[in-house]
Amino acid sequence: MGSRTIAVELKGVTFLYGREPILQDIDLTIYEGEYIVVIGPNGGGKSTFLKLLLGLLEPTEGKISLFGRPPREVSHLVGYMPQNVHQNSDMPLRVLDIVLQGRLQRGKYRFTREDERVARESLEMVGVGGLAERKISTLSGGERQRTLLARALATQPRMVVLDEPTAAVDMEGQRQIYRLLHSLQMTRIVVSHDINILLEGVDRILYINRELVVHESIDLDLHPSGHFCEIDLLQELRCKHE
Amino acid sequence: MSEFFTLFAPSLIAALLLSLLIAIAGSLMLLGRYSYIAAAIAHGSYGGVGLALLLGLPILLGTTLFALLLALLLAYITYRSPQRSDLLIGTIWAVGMSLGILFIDLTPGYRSDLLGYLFGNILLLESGDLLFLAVVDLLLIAALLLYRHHFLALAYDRDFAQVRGIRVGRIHTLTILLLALSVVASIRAVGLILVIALLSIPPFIAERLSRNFLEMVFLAALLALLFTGTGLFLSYWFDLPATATIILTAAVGFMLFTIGRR
Repeated sequence: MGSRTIAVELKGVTFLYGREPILQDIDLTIYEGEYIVVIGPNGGGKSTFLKLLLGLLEPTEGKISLFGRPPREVSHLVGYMPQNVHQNSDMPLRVLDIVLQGRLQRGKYRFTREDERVARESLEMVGVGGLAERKISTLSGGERQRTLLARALATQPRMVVLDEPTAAVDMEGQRQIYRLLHSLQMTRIVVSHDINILLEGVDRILYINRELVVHESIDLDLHPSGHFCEIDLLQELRCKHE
Repeated sequence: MSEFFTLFAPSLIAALLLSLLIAIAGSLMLLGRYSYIAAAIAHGSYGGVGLALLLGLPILLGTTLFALLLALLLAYITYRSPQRSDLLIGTIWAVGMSLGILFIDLTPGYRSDLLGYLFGNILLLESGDLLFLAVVDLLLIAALLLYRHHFLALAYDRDFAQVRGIRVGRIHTLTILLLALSVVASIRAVGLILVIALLSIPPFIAERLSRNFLEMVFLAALLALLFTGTGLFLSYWFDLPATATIILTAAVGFMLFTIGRR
């Protein structure tokens, strides 16, 4: 892996909330094009980890770089999808307006036809092309989730950071998203509680739980018939395929 | 009827300018959830009224500067610690009003027009007030045309906007400064106690009937004009206080809309 471009690098990263350690002394390297799934219990620090990657939080100690630069300087290269958005449900915005936000950047005040084409294409990619003109308040949870995924893809990023992309999505939609994530060539970092996502071409799994922080697991046997339930990194997951 | 238009011509112009202000500032306030902040600025601005009286400054100038100062303080507080801002906003609200009461008490003489700042009177606006309203309208239109996508991005998902490189702090501060100017510009017409009702009701109804932001602003302007125009006409017809009648007209409109939607 030595010759590959480094997408994400964490060196001795610690994050304290007040005096409470949320993440401690993490060293991690993610290479460009890798597909990483992040698992761990609620409150274990997964969201903090993502926010540190995105430059929304600064580490208390240590250093983070994305493509060799501080996250805030290159966050526009990242397509981010939050788990949910706590917005006013009656907001007068169409699905297309939300996805177009992925085309927004500093110093840009208008959207072009190219922006609209990319936004519509992103909606098609996640299987909700027909919803472009719908008001967001009329969407189901799964449709809203896919809209947020389309917005992340509309940024045409070098890396996507997705927080629970399949939450509230129906089975067929989930399969579509797994296939999509598998087919993307860019670096993918996906937080998920969905065990099925681990079965579709994931390169590595990170288990984050506070001070224990990160285990990297390479070459895990993730086939449903395998024994991944015995692997300590995945001990919290149910052995649904046993 | 022609007597009504002759007598109320300046007030109708004020209503027109005010409606535009309500539509844009109110929509920004509603979508970005700035209602509490705007209310704090409106009430806290009474400190500016008192300070201007105490120092012998023009009241509009004193109130504007004081409101902008409050806006900057509130923008800083709510940006830095959004989770704990409610208490601080409430404190600024009360401190501003208390300063106003204190400054007015320390000012020699008695001002009979002070109630006008609390409850407003759209019938007594002077040309300077109309000019100030027009200037704030122009600023709001310019901000809307230039930054509307940024305002919406922040209102919908602040973290995503920040990841996209939008200067979230600046847009947040700009929004609150625009709200402060809007509040001050409308204080003489509707009063600092009543202004929030008028900033809230037309955009609230418009939000539920619109598919996009510009449609919301346009509809809110029409509704604001409907409420202020109807209120003015009713106040003339039944010899009632104009501002209170306008607010109550808007409140009736709000109730009818809410009942009609059920």
